[in-house]
Amino acid sequence: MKLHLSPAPHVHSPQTTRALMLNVLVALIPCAIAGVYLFGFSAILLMLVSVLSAVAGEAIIQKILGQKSRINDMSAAVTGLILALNLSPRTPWWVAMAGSLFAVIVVKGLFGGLGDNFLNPALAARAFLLVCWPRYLTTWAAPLAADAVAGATPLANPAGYTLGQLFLGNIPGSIGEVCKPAILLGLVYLLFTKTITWQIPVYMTAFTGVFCALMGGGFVESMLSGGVLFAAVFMATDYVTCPMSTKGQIVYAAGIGLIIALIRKFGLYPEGVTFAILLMNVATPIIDRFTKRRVYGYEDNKKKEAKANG
Amino acid sequence: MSSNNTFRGGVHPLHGAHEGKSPTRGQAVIDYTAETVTIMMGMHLGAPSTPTVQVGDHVKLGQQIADPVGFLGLPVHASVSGEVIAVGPVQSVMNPAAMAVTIKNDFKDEWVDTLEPLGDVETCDPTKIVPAIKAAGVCGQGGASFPTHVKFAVKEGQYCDTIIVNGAECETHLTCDHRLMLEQSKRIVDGLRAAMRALDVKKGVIAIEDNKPDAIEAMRKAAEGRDGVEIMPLMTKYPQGGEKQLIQVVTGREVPTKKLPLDVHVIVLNVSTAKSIADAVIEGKPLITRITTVTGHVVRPCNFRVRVGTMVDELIAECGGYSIPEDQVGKVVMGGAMTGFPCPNTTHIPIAKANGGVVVYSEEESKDYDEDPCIRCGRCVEACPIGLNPYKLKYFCDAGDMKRAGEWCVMDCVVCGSCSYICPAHRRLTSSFKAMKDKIAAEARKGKG
Amino acid sequence: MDNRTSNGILAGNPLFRLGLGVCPALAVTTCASAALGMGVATACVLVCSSLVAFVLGKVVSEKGTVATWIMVTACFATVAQFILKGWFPELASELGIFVPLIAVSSLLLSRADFASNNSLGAAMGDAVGMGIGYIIAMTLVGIVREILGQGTLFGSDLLPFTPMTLVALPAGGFIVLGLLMGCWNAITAKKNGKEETQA
Repeated sequence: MKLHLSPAPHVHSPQTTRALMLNVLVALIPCAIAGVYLFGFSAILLMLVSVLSAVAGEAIIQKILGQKSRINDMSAAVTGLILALNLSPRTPWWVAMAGSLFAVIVVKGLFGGLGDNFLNPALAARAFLLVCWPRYLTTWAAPLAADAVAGATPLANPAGYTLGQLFLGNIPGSIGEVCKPAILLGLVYLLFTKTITWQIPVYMTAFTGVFCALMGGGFVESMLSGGVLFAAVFMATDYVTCPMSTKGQIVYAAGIGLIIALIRKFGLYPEGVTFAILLMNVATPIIDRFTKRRVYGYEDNKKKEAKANG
Repeated sequence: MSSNNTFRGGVHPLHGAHEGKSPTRGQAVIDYTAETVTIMMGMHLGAPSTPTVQVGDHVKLGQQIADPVGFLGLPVHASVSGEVIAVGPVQSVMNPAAMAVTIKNDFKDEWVDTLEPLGDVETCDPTKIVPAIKAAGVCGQGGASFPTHVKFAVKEGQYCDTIIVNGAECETHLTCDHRLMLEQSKRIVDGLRAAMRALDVKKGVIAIEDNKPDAIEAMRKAAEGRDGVEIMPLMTKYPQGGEKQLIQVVTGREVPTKKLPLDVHVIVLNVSTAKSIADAVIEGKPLITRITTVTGHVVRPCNFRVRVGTMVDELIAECGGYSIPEDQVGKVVMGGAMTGFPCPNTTHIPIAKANGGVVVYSEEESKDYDEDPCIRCGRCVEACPIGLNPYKLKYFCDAGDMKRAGEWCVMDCVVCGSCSYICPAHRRLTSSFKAMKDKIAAEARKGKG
Repeated sequence: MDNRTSNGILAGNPLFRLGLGVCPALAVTTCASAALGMGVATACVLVCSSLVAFVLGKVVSEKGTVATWIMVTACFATVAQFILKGWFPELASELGIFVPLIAVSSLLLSRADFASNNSLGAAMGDAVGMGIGYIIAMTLVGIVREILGQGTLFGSDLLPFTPMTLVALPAGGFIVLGLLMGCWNAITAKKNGKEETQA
């Protein structure tokens, strides 16, 4: 009998990095299925290319940087799938591939890998693609149309669609973002498995609606159009790039809502979700700094800091 | 009987499996008397006691066999009657050479009569209670083994207005306190009353997690008609029984950093400690037995009332041995899953005054994980009962940065293990904080000396 | 090759290792020819001003050095601007303000300072090395950005796929410069490691 010596605790929560990432993948399945149903074969192709190139890119960059291969933690697959679901169904496959590689190699790998990236890789890649090849990213396809007629998104043509269409996803848009019931199904799964907490999705969607309404948009319409809901559930909640404390998460969600409303109202792009989240990603360390929990037995953090500094 | 009394943070280890307590919580305590006992001299916090017996001496049950050393010293008593067969170092769970006295039991159980019973706790002389506790060698039996009479040393300007008896037993697997509350509820209340009278305290609270409704009921009954004693159910959550958390929940006060519970007018006693106080006051019996839960992969998980100094391997054998092949045994842990210490390479280790349990883990359950990179999920921040930022603190501790670790309050960490438990990347947060705390404490001692 | 010179090209490359002269490296490297032109202009001014700085270093008091170096580099930058405007008007208009701005380039000032404190041989070796290093670095950034951003190289079509607009923007300049810096560091670090093990 050989006894192990290891420090306490001797039990561990069943949640592991890999299990959490798998939960996210499972939660994305309804969106993926809805995307395939609405936009057809090209959606499957994009998802496959994107996921495979993200995983391959991760393996390559970890090899080059001499790190332990961690593709088993599934984070690259999550990045790839989220990126694909964020693209227009008519995006050429090589654009998706370039985006995936940019996400895992430049945004994640070169900054130190999982946990050290200060931007959400999938979103940073989408922003990269949007600036690089704006034409491909903003050519939309009408859903359920065999001959893929280009249509205007609800953001470009707010009067063109009913609320029912907006909700069910019978609108042109990115593969994963259009079908709201699928997204909500994913959200329920993520909440049920305790993968994420409800704060960021709820506050971000609500704040977006409120700020858009204040700037003259429709409250419900602005929450249902564009990628707001998808981003609120799957991207703003990215562990690495969102604040730690609940208080911080509310500030973060409010910031995202405000920037979305500002970009939609005054910006060059009709949609602002990508840049809004990226900007708040960058602000996350500052938010974390100012929303630290008070430590037990201390008066409050500010006094303690003053003491530590002086 | 669920309760909302709780603190912020915490985790729910083995929540689906009744905190691992189901095999033993229905098991009435069985007396187990060992043939030989190995009584260690350093069972309490503070300097080990000095043995006063020699090989060949005959000792009676309860006879003092070692003198206290220093301010935190405690006397040690024989837990069996018989002949001293060895005085020397033995392997303990933390120390490969712990000074101990080994006594061969003659099974006569002749009591020594050096300790004077004070009689009924409600009528005895309150000034004699604390000396009696000290003479009986009572130390905290929840884990930290702090000498109990020192807790009662109220300094000039301090006062105590609440005594909390800790029956939370938030640690996984252990049911020794649970059984004690069911079987000896009156003794626990007596112990609490004795403590209250010793310091003239008007309020005593017995706090119990709501996963033990039968214990709450039993203690309620026992406390009926007793002055100032109340029972408080707590939410089942780890580390509900941590001293700082318990004080926060029961009194709404927080122990300021670097201060003791007495600074917020509170004393916390474990239920076993309260029972030992009652034994010392009413019967003049020193602390020589304790209840120990033996569970995990053993054939018959049991609660034993053992003599202090009983060997772990004997208890495992008494439970029918391992329920898995011996080469499948991965760890034998002294204590619960969250804070217990694993036995180093042997289970031939004596039970000390504060060992509430022995848990056997299989090879599969003890496999070591690689540390993955932190994904900043914030679970550790949410779980920390103290409000630290474990993910961040670990970088400083790993880098050996004592200054920054101190600024991020590493010394306030209670080493409860919640962060390590919850971390999806299997980062060994708690142990790195423990190492850093030890390092800073050693440095501080060096600075003083 | 002189040790100083090779240092300026590889291990001490001004743009990739020292981070000097970054501003024009982001601004005028959208196409390779402009980047090359800028590199050559900077290198010429660098060599001339280092020579003068070496001479003046013996007479100027310590307090006046920075002002003096700016005067010297400004002189040569003006000359360079006139030459460019006279003989290469297209390139000059492409480089725009960045040629006069050579006068306050961190690269020029630091090298002038170095020249004034060292022997003539070291000063000239350093200036030539840094100049060549800067030309190489600028041209590399220019080539990568022109290929990816416009799909051309020195003006001729090259790329089969749609060029990446981002790379042609200043933000893309940062990304390309950063990636090239990383590669350069990795390569030179490997080379240094080898030399160390040999020694």
